[in-house]
Amino acid sequence: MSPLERREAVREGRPYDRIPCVPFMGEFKCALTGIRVWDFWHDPQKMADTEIAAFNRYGYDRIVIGPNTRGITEALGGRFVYPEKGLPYADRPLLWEGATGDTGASAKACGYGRLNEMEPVDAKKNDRIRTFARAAEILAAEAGGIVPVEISIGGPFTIASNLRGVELLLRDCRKCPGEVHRLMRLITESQKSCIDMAAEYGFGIAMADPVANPALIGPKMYERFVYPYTRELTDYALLKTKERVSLHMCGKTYSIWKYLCQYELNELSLDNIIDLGRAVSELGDRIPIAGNVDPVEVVMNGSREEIERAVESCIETGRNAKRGFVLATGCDVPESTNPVKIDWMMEAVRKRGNVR
Amino acid sequence: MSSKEELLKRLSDGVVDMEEDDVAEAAKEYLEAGYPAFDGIMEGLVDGMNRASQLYEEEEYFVTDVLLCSDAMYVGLDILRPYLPEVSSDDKITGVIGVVEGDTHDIGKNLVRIMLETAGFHMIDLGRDVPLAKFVETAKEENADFVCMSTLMTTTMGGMETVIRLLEEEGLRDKVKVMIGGGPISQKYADKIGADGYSQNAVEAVKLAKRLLNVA
Repeated sequence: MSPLERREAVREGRPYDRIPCVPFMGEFKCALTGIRVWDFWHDPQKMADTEIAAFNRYGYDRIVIGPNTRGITEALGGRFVYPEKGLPYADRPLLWEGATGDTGASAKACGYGRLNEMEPVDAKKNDRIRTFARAAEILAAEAGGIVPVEISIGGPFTIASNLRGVELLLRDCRKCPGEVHRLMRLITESQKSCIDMAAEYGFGIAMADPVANPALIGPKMYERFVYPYTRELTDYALLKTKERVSLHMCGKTYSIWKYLCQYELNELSLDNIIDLGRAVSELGDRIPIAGNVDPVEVVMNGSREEIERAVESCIETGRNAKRGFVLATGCDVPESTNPVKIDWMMEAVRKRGNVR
Repeated sequence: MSSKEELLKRLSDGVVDMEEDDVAEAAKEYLEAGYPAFDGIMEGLVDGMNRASQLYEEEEYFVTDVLLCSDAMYVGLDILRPYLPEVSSDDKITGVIGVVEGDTHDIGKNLVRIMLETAGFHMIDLGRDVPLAKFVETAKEENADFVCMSTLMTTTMGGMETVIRLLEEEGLRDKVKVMIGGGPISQKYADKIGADGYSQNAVEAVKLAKRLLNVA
């Protein structure tokens, strides 16, 4: 079955061959295809070629392209550094004025002046977003009938942290909550415009909001500053694209599950530190679950047998999820992973993921 | 005029409640009343920060809160520190801390530094994206007792092992303890590269440092 046929069969309750599998490939795809990370983020043809090459090798069940958190941050005027080796990282935040000291330890004044001049991103006009739109166009033509494609719009709180700096943003949630809400509104409107773009190509939406994590903000802050915006985005995505959002959440998220399960989700994919059995029993009747093979200890460092065992264990647990299960990695596969490891992972799913 | 106990409580509560202005006011009154700065720091500010880390451990407080508590503590420290009697930093246990080369995620490292400073260690913070040799050079120059490294990324975690090898080459490994932490790091990884310890969070890091360095 093609991934698209498999998805349709799952949805319509018809027989299908195996559990769907989506390893999170990140910049590992660049290492795989030899494309520079900068090109992967800026050249639409190379973006599409990379996606197609990786998909053709592994045959996993979904392609996810940008803009992602990074592209939307840049579309709003934020800056990233793309080193020749290694992953891109956020440059000095855009909304820095009023802050002093590199760690922001003595920053007191809220520095949101620049926000007054900022406009939400218009995905139809913004050059940075147009790059991703052109890649989407190529993929719609080349892959559209074979594999589901999603456009990642990242996560609103993580985009906010890129524009403001994580530590300052966290302080602002207490010190100037009104400004945080203004920033979140601007970002949410920008993401909605990107949802409109995805709808044009018939693609669904992926989201991930690593900074909105209980390791950094508690559930009360999540409820105030993240939940309303993510709710709005997931509702809007369903309305516009007719598809539910695939959401990945890093970290120990137990304390915010009560919010996560209220979203309109295609799947909630969980970190490998999460007890998958607990997710299946506590969330499985509300939303489909995806997870959660350890990308470092198992995929990057593990043997063929260890990979197969981990895949089998996730499938045995996950297949009890009432609303459905997708086998995924708990986070991005590190770029230095030997590409054959993903072959082994897919092989294990084909071997062990047959549907009874 | 407030008693010493009342002022110490105001310092401590100001830190826990993240109220910088209250801390500043209490610290000034405390000095004006002629009480010793050392007690103000230890029984006021540090006491407050310890209470904040207790709340963090109990998941009552989150990083958002701990950052603001530490801001309040540092406001108080800036006021009280000039009145401390001169202490040679040789008397303190010295640690070198930083995020390894290639990574710029530094919240975790900052929290660990704050907690270790609160616990009385003399910390030299090399910041983020720190060249690996810099850890070793600094440990040598400063005669450090331990080195703390963190990273959030799998792509850069290998640098930690390099630092341990460099410490060995310099003949420093026996006198410098190595602690590591960060998202992809585990006890298993610490064992694999020969680090002395791993901790999952900042509170645990303090316990680990005390254990490794035999501090009560």
